[in-house]
Amino acid sequence: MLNILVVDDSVLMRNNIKSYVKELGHNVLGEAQNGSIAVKMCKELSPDLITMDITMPDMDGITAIKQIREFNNDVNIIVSTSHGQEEIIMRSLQAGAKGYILKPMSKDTLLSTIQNIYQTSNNDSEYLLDD
Amino acid sequence: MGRELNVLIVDDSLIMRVNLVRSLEGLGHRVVCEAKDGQSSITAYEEYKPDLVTMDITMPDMDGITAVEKIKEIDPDANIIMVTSHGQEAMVMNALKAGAKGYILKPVSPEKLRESIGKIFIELENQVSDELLDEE
Amino acid sequence: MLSKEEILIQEYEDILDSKDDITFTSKELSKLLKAYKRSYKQLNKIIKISDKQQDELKEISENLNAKTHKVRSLLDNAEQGFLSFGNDFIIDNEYSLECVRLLGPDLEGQDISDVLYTNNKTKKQFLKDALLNVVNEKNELIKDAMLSLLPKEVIVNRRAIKLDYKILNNQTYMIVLTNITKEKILEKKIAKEQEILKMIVIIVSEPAQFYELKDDFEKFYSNKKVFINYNLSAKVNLSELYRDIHTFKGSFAQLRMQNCVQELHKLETSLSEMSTQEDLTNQDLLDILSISDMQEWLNKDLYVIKEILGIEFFDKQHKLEVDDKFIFNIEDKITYLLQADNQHINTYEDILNEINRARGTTLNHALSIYPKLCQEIASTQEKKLTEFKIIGGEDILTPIHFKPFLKSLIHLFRNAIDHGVEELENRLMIGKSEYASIKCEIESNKDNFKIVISDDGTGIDIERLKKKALSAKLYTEFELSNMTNKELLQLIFIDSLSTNDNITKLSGRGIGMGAVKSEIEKLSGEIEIHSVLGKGSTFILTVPTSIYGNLINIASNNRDNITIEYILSPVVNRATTYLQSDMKINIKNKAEFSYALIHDIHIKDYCSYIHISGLVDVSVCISYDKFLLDKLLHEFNHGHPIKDSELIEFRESISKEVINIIIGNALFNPYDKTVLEITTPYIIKHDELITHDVHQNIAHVLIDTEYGEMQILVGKF
Repeated sequence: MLNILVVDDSVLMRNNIKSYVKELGHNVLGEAQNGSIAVKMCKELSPDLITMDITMPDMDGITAIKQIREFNNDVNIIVSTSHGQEEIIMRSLQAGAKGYILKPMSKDTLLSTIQNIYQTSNNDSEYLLDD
Repeated sequence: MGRELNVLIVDDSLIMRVNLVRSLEGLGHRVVCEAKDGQSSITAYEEYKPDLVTMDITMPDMDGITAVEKIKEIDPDANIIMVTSHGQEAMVMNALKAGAKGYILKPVSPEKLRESIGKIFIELENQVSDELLDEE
Repeated sequence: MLSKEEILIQEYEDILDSKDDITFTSKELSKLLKAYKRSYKQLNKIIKISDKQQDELKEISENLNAKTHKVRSLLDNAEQGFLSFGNDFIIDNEYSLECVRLLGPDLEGQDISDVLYTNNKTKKQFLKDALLNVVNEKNELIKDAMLSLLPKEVIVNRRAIKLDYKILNNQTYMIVLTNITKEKILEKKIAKEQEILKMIVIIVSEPAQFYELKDDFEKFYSNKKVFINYNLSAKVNLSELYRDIHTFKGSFAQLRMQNCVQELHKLETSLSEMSTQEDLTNQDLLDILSISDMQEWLNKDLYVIKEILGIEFFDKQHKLEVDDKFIFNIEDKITYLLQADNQHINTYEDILNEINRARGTTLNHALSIYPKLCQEIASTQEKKLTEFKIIGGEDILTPIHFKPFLKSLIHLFRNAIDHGVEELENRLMIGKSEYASIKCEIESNKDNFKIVISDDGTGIDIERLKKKALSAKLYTEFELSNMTNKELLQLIFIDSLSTNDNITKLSGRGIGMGAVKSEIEKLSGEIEIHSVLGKGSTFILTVPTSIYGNLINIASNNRDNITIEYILSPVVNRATTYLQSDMKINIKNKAEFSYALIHDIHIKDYCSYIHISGLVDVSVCISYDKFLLDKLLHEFNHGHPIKDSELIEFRESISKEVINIIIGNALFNPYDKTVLEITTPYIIKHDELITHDVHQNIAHVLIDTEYGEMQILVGKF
């Protein structure tokens, strides 16, 4: 069970993500509506995972990630964006994100993105693990 | 540590001698002398009367077996361990017949030495195993 | 007991001796008779006892036989051989059956050392001497040491046999034989596999070294066989040849290519023997080279490598490893030129296309992992699949955000194999081919591309889907009966709906297919299913390509031309699919397109706005009827109730989210960076819409739904 911090400027999106998180059996540790609050909460709460909207007023997602990475290298960050512009994704990965989801987000895509991050072998034949 | 033995090493190879000294001292024994060939090993034995001898089987001039025989003449109770490589079974057999009390196959390791010495000096082995029990 | 008789006998003997003529009185005769009768009685007794004893003896003997038999069969059935011998080393009669299996029949009377070492005199002698020494040694310690010197393993009749020695009390030796041939073979096999593994690891970490050696060796044997330098003496040629062979041997040894090393070593040995020949000629050298099939030596090692790394590994020889950043830098520069230098736009586009193709980001390449993956999935289920390749798609570029969609396709393939392809036996029973076939073809035109994935399996059972939908309470009977087959097939995409009763670890939860649908819809695409029960299924995935296809055209035309139409089409597409598929809102008619001046447009109450800049410079505004907006809100929030006090905030929120999703999804571009930049959405009121160019034609689209209208405006404002 993961402790997740939900960051998005839209209250609707936050509600959505929070309900998915709960349905997937994880814990919503907190929520933030912009980048600077996100950084603060990350420092205070030390979540396992952060879902971060990229475009937010005040401080945007990428800046927030960079700031977070200055003091925390362990938390896994998933960025969400409605467009798949390569540059944005590259920049967020370079800033320290571990995965990305395209909006609209569904429970499935959230689940599979989380699974991708938490797997040791990150390849497409994840389905072939027999034990 | 258990009983500290005085050991005489007999081997014509410098590397082997260095190796054996290190292993034996690591086990807590004392190397009183190193001999490079059969003849000098006999004189060394007479002089130092060690508790244990490690003897290489193949040496130039006098081979290990003859050396064993001669040492046994001096001291029938001498404890001699042969050091041998694979394929020398017949020679080892003869050495044992001549009175050697055990043998070690190369490469030599402290564990092999300990085991071989242990068999000869049973009380030493018991002491060592008591120690191991204490450490656990 | 017999003394009376003895006395009588003596008496009568004396009588007979003393007189010539004897007359026996009847008294004496009857005495004699009595004595005779007595003897007879005793004799009978003895005979009886003797018979009894004989019977007893027989019984004991039978018991003993039975016991021996039991022991014998125990020993014979033990999977070990037991035999014994004395100081003469002659095998005793009693030995167990396994000995026969291992050493041959009729062992009794043979010398054990002969049996174990048929030809090897030294070993025979050593065995005998050693055994004698052991027995004669009094000191236990030395005795043990000697025992440990006895041979522990021996090879007889091509079998590996383990030997354990027991010294029995009465100077008898026993040997227990155990057949360890299988273990030995396994050991060898494991050692061989480990060597191969080491070889692969080294080759994969130093591919350049491998390729170089392979090339050099191939060159070497092609040349050397033909060209021995006749100007030089054979000896000189020999030493040069020897040196080369020796060097190659070392290089192959570094890469652990065993076969080459062994063969080169043999050749080396032959060459070194030849070097002592006095009358060596160049022809001799040519002869030995011609019988050395070096190509075959190399091929043997290459075969192993090919098996493990695949034939593609050899193709990699001419590939460079390049940093992503390097490519991005080049792309940046070209993109800059694309915008700055109109004259050569076509060339720049071509260059960018080539770079993307080199990057391997074509659709064909992206899907190329699936054929092999399918084989692996099929084999774990013991199903057979013909090998197939991805057809088409070599000229379609896949930007990074296609990745989730492409990754989700694994579900389609897995589904086809798990539930589509029948078990091998079933297939054969109904007359289908042993090898099932799965196909994946890509077609494309200027508006979209289609990925067609088909299988010749058992098809989708609509009735089962209906039943599942019913039991999951997703639709009523009535609703289901009114749906067309096309619509019913789409049921397969609903989460947690699966017609598989057994949930395997990886399939059957019904989640995978849903992911495919949701991913393709993000790209404004759609899935069509065709299925015939018993024959197979086909999935057609259509993804529109209009935007970037058109962006390329935009670049080639004069950029000042308004590009509203090009933005409009994908945006409206995505808006439509968003309403219909994502939010389950029915659309009444096709969207209405028109153009209007800004004054004439009446924006609805709830409106959000987004600006796009870069290669195109345009804004989009999306507004809603209240009822529609509330429905969207309701759906987005999963039906959770919303407090009145929060209503305004939520409405603004949903308005911004939806425009963000629609525009974001609709407009992607493969060329990166400054081509398109999309702002965060703003909420605007209807009188806030201003523009500098009051005469421009603003594109105006109305999408009519059962809950009201969605209005989309595209222009410069």
